Amino acid sequence: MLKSKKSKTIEWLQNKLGSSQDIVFREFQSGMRQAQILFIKTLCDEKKLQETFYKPFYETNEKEFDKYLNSLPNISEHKKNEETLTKMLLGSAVILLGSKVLILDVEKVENNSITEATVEKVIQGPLNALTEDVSTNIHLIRNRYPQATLRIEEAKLGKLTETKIAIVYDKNKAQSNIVQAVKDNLDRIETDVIMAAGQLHNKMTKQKRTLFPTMMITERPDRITYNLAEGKVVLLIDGTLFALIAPSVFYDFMSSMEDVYQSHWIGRFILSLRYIGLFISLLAPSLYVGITAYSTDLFRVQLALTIAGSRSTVPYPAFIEVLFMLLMMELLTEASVRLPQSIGSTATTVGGLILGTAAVEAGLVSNVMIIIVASVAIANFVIPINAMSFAMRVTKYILLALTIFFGLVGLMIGIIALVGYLAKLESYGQPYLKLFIDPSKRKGQ
Amino acid sequence: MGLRYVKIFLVMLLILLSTTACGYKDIDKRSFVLTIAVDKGQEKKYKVMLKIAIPSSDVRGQKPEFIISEQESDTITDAIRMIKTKVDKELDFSHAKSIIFGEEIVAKDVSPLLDWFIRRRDIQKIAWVGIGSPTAESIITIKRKIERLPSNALFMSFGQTGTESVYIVSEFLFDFRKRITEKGLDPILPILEPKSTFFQINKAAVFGDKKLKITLSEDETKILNMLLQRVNKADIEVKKEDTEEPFFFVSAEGINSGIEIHSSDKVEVKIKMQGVIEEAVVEVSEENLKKYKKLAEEQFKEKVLSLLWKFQEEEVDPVGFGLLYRAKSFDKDDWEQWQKLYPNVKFDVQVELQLHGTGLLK
Repeated sequence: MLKSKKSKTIEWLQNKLGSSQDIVFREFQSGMRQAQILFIKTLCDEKKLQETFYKPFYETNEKEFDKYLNSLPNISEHKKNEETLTKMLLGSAVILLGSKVLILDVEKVENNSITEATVEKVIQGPLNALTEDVSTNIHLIRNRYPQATLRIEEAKLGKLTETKIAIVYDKNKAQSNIVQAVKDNLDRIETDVIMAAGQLHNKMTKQKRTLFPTMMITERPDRITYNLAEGKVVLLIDGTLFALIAPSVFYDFMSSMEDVYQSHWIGRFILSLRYIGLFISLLAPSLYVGITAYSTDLFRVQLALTIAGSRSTVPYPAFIEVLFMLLMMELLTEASVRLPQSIGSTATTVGGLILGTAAVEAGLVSNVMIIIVASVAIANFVIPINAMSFAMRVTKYILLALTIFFGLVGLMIGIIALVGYLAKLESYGQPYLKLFIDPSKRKGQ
Repeated sequence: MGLRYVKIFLVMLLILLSTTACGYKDIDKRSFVLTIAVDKGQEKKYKVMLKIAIPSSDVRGQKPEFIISEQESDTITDAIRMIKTKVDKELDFSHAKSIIFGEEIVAKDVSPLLDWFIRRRDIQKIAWVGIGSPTAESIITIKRKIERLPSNALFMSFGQTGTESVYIVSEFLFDFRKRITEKGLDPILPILEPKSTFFQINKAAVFGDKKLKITLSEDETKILNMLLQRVNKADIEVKKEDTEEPFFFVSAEGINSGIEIHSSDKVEVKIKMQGVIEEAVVEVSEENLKKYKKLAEEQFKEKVLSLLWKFQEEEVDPVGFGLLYRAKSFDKDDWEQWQKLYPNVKFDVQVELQLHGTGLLK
């Protein structure tokens, strides 16, 4: 009776898994003991299996082996067929031993090599990024933040992908309502596939269509540590080296870890440089159109005549010129992201240098336009967090459209509306345009 | 929810549409007027000339290219309208930074002429005003070799961004207008004279009764500039006692002047400055420094006094004594009082020069 139930489980599992070539089912004997094992070869670490199961099985007697098994941390008992199947699919082996069905977690971790940070680089600071394996990431964080108050809770998301998500926070520093809000948010998500931090961010926001990120996406363990100490909640996602930090406000997206590592005035200088870059990338195209086509008196006379001269060969109005060059620049940026690194530099050279000079010589765009487009592109890259830099790239076009139709008045109203919109946004109860989140003040609340 | 946003959007759109006054016009479809010149017309009242810059597409080899479009008419508005029919691009007055009037035209009341310049919002009120002698045309047609942009020489001389001269009385349009309408402060304008390939600005005209009254010499212009505190560096010539021979020159700086009216018949003018001897025609020695200082003070005082007497005689008041009197008086008829007082008022000029040295090492 009992035996038939056991074999039924195995049969059910085999039935579900079908006949893939990486499914292994073996029976073996040692003395009087019999055992059967079922696992997926490609998901399990066979070395681990060898050491934790096979070796003790042959080297000890029955009683000792049972005791040994009970002491293993990565073993559990079979309860439900479906649950067992899920566990198998995440790298567990199912063992039939005597009267018991045991599940041994021998997951093979492949992508846990630590690499250098590529997206958020700093000059003098920790160089390495997170890995794509969540437990390695937790290891990295625990190492940097050895506090007993650090809490790590696990959740699974995605009906098909079953992506592991670790919610990390410092119990003493993080506000419990924010932690709860993040958890509730995660529970509410219904999706099949979760693969990236940005994707999870999208699912977590209440509005369906958003432009500005309200959660920080980062690959730096030092940034995570810094934010944990500030009382924020970090979400680590298995399979990607990016983590989410909540709540995050506008100021966070403009700051780099470099600001903390450099001396005070240098840090302030770099930060103000970034804000200048932000304004240049947002406003330069709109100001060009607004001033050349509406309010020419804002230029000095020398500059007005120079621009008028350089534009004299251009057949189209200024706004078409701007849109054309901005489109070219966006294409160039987009192309260099997708291209392999070896070809990427060729694309930028061809696009940036040759296309630019040729367009001027052909009389399609003016010299001044090239300067503006180039400065817009460079200034945009200064924004340290990619998600914010993309958002600003899009916002620029809204301001440009307003300026084309209504001149500098339109630009001004656009800026006011943008500030208003940003002020309306919030990230887990934190107003988005709040300049500093001060953890010491929050305690008093 | 969606409908609310649509409503807000529509309201915004309406506000925006109503706020745009001027339309979209590309910079290369505009003709930049750099200087406006007005002369007396031969048949009609005015001859209006606009100096329009031609932008060159080659930045490096740029030469000052311009055209001058002119039209005779009885009103400026009409003249501008007719000029518009002659040029292919929209006239843009936003960079018209200098306005030149012909000598003949300022001999009559200038306030009706000025009206157009004040009313038009696209004429900058910080434009410089000057008098072209003998005509405004002779000034704006000059093609200067050193100019990279047409009219740039005018902007540089008036704006003191280029040359800094004590002989140039720069006058803004707003200030000219203020001096015309204000009681007790008379207008002044610089006079520009053409000299083959360039022009020279070293004289000033003083207006009385809204028209040109007297023309000042170079030296008088300099002293007026110092009295108005528009310069703080100047050179002062000192002659030998009781002769006309030049003795030495003082390079003065930190010039500070002030006027005060204590009693109704006495005006106090104080001028303070400091400097060193810049050029000595006859040898000077350090020991006699006190003597030189006294000499310089006395001679300069004489010059200031003679200028003030000249103003008094002609009943003009470019320094603004009348305005000061009115500011200190509470009577309703203070202007009439001052008009009676001014011809007989006594001037007390005090010059204080700190002579630091002979300009040489011992």
